[in-house]
Amino acid sequence: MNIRRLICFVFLLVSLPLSGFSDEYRSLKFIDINNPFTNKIPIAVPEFVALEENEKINEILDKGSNYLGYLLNFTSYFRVSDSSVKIKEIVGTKIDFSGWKNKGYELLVSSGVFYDKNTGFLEMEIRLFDVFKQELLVGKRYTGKADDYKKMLKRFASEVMEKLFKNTGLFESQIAFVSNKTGNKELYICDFDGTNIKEITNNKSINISPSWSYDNSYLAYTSYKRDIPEIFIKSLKGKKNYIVSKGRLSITPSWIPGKFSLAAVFSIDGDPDIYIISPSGEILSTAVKGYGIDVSPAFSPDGNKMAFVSGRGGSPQIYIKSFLDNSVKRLTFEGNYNTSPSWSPTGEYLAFVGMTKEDGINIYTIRPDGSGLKMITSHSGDNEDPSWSPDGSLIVFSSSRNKGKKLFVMTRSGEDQRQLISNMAGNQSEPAWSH
Amino acid sequence: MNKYFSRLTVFILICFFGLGLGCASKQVDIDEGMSQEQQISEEDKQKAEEEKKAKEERLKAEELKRQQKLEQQKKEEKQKKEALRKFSDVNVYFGFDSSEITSKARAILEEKAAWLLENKDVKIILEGHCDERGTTQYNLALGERRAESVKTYLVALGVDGSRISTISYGEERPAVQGSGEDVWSKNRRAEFVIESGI
Repeated sequence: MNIRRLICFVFLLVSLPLSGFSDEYRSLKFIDINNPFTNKIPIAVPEFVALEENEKINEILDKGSNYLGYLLNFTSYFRVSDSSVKIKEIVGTKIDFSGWKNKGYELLVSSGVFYDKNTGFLEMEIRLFDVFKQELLVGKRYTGKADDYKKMLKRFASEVMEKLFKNTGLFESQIAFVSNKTGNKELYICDFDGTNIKEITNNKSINISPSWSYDNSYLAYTSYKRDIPEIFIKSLKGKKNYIVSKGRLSITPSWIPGKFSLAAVFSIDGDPDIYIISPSGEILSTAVKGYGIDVSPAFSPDGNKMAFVSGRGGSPQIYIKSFLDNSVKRLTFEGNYNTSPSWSPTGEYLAFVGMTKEDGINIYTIRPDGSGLKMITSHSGDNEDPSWSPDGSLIVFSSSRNKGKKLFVMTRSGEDQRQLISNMAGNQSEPAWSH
Repeated sequence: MNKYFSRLTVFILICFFGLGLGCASKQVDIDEGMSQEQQISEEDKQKAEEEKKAKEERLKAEELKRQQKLEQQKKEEKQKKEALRKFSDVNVYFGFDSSEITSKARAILEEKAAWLLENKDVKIILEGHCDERGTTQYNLALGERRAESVKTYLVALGVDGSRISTISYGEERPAVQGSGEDVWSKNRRAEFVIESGI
């Protein structure tokens, strides 16, 4: 009894693959890999089925299917059925797939839920079916505290994304950002969907430019807490914090993938240049030094290249430095003001901000070789500060399209632009999506 | 008593006689001994009054001088204050995405350099600011460049560089809220803050 209680108290979440179904995945014909967002996959997420009736379950049945639908919808890959859809049988052999096919669905989720009143444990069986092939794609059983049903569903949604798109999704990820809701720019962290906002700084100075370490355990940022701009490195796991300060200007920290070191900008001889440093402030090397401003380092996912902004050509443009051959190449040539590079986690694209007289301030994507330039926001206020979701499918950014500056999310090709946080006062800016 | 009286008489007579001799040309009313005395004291009075007047005038002049000096001091103080106010209130402005010192800025900086050379104990902080356009990070670097280029110019005009420190606020501390070139042009600036020495 005591041990049972203890187990209930401590969060427990176990997932087991459901046996008895073919787990082999053959690539779905209907997914357009080049742009999966224009032809969204119709998926039915009917209300979960109770494996044994009781009050607690009734609450979870409805909320659960709604939440899973919400998660899948957030990715922009799916067109999710409305919540009124119902299913009777949850096992593949008993499901009438032709009925779902006739309604236009290509994928179907079924879930059976069992709640143990004595232990307070919830058991959830969830399956994803290919309606056309009448075949199981993902089958999972989760056990945990009833209140943790959202965590279980996030895991399942991640499994779905892994199965269909070969990435683990973004449901466990977080977004750091800047807000001046108190009158001062302070840092906050929220979940991937803008919920669960937590305060990171509260020092009434200026706190900006957050950057996640590769393992998401540190957040580096620029702060005026000690009157001048310096780099603060905060452990999110209760470990040692650092402050790095060189001269009068220490800004724009950016972690190097897979390493406990980062790039940052110092104005050591009156000119902002980019250096590689350790968190304790040791300068390991000079990454970029030249006449004029060099700022905003952003690494390729393999860490071999670094995009940055430089004013060396007379206007701010994005350049790429290769650490393999120490070459520096200019990436952007259109327009007179291109800044804020952000490398996609897949390495295929860079997002950046361009300012033109005709179109104002907008977000663009481009391939690292300079091809495929595309403006992905337009006619919607100033759009700035792009940052990629860890799976590379979405971009979070700030926009002034509504009153003030707010955070928005869109697909990597600009679809489904929607506000991420709508319940926070003041302006929000500089979002940084965790890895 | 008698003896005393007669001595007094003699004294008075001598006095009369002596005065009569001394003021032979004057119309002396012998009958009225007291009025002669009065005349003497009036002369004294006049003299005293003249002296008093002179003194008063002297005092007045001194007061005036003091006042003038005070006023001069006040004026100088005011001028000093005015110069200080001008030093810290007058900004230098920049073009879009530029840290170049304009010709207008050059004239202002020459005045500022002269003031700094006169007030040798003063240490200052140069604040570099940007307008809201462009990105937070780039603007931080641009603000730094603006402060640095002002510092370089002041040093070239003879100001000791160790008296000047810089700080960039990027677009974080606009002087004027809002949008549009009118607002932006007022926010692309370097500000002059007295750190110590006043």
